[in-house]
Amino acid sequence: MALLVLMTFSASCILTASNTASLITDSGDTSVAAAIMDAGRTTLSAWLYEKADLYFHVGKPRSVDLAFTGTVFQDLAETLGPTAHVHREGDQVREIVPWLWMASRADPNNIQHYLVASFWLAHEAGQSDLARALLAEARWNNPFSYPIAMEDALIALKHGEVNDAASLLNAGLAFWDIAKDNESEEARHDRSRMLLYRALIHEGRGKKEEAIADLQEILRLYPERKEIELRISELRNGSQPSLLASSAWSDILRSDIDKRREHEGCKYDDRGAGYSDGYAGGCGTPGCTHAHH
Amino acid sequence: MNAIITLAGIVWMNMLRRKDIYVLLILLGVVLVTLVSLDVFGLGGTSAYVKDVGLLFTWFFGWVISVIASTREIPGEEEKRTVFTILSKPVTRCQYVAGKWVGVWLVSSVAVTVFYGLVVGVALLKGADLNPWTLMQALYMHIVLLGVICAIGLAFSARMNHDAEATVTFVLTTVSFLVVPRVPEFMAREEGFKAGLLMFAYNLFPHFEVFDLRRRVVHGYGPVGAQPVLMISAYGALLILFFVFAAWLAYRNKMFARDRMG
Repeated sequence: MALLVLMTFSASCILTASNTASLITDSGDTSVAAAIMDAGRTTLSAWLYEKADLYFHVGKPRSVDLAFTGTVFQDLAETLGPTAHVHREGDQVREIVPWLWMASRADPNNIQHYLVASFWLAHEAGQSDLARALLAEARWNNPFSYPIAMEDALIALKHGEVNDAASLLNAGLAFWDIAKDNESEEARHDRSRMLLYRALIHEGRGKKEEAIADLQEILRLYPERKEIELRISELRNGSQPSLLASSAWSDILRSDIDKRREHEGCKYDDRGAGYSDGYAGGCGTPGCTHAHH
Repeated sequence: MNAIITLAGIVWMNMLRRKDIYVLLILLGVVLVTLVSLDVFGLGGTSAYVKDVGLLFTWFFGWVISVIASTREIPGEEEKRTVFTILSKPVTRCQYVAGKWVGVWLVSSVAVTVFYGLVVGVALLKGADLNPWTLMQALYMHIVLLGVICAIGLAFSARMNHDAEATVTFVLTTVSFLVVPRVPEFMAREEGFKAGLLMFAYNLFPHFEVFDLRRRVVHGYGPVGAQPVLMISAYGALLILFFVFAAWLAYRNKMFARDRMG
């Protein structure tokens, strides 16, 4: 029996070591102790993040690939756990925040935790001030991160703090230029969103040329977007009053937030593929690696 | 039966004399106070994490108490040679093993019940919603599991020395807690010998995950139906019988040589 225990324990160590080894290799630190500490921190942070995901789905764990199903133990365990696929809504979403808060403390350089927590605080729990305080802390720990500036700008814009939003969008676009991963599709999409919001702010302020410049920049990223071309010509002709800009950004903002919220449901059953390390234009839920275009 | 109760009483007195349970209770209190005093961006109205972490520590401490208590009883008495006094009385070895198991199980169960009380008290103070029936079911299942862990500890302690059996019991129960429920997941990434080994372990080791109702308690679900509870109770009873029987088999013909003890 003792031999069996030893064998199984060794097997479990080998299996879990495959994950840990990659964490240590990825850290790029030459000190073994620092690498182990780093790996421990990242693992703890990932566990806390997974907890937030579990809370968001009211106790139903994420689905994973299984070699077999239908054993009596699996059936019993399933009976004991929650089976309904539901999400926390409204004020109830606050329950996920402590886990994300702890996750961000365990790994302050993982911006995903901050982004997820601030999204839910601002757009579901109605705590925009707390969301912005969290993003300020995120900026302190990750000073040149464009997703943090972008998220903060959108919350500011939602609450009519246009000057603040404009400064944050300027910062976000500047940070985007120096971001390491700005070649990805998600990064391009994020840049186009920031440019669009800034163009609308410029338009609202009557700065037509700046607005056109931003829209042309979007066209360079996505030449197939005919509606942007149309908008540029409308601005040049002066056929659209600039007063409509604030109404336009409110509509776009509402649609963006709704898309992100809706995205929570659709990705749940097929997420399980792992966690994105940084902001990937995702919906803002732990475990979600999908982009939201 | 009287002999079993008397032996269980001795275990009970021994545990009360030691300070393990008090230390763990204080530690749990410290953890809960720290959790309650956490200022998560001044966000009030969140309490589920207090229940969750409190129950996590309750499980952890319950596991530690049951393994330590069950693995030190028999070797401890052999070391102090009090086993000679006890076995010279009209007590069979079967009664001796059963008495030890009842004693350590009772001690662990009472300790865990107190831990639950503390967690529930703090969670209620924090404004948590708790379904009393689910909570009682969770505690009941936990107590059944403690019976299994105590039986495993006792089975190993019948033949091995204290350090070895405590280590083996900790390893076996850790594997049953953390690895066995995830074997189907691990196997999806493995094949050949490793997959076979995992399947073998899945069928061999006890499945502790079926005793865990924490998610229902934390997320505010109602109690489970009677059928799964009965099935799990029967599974727990079978495991307890198996390991207590194994302990008796290992202990019934054990020879004691005074010069090789202590």
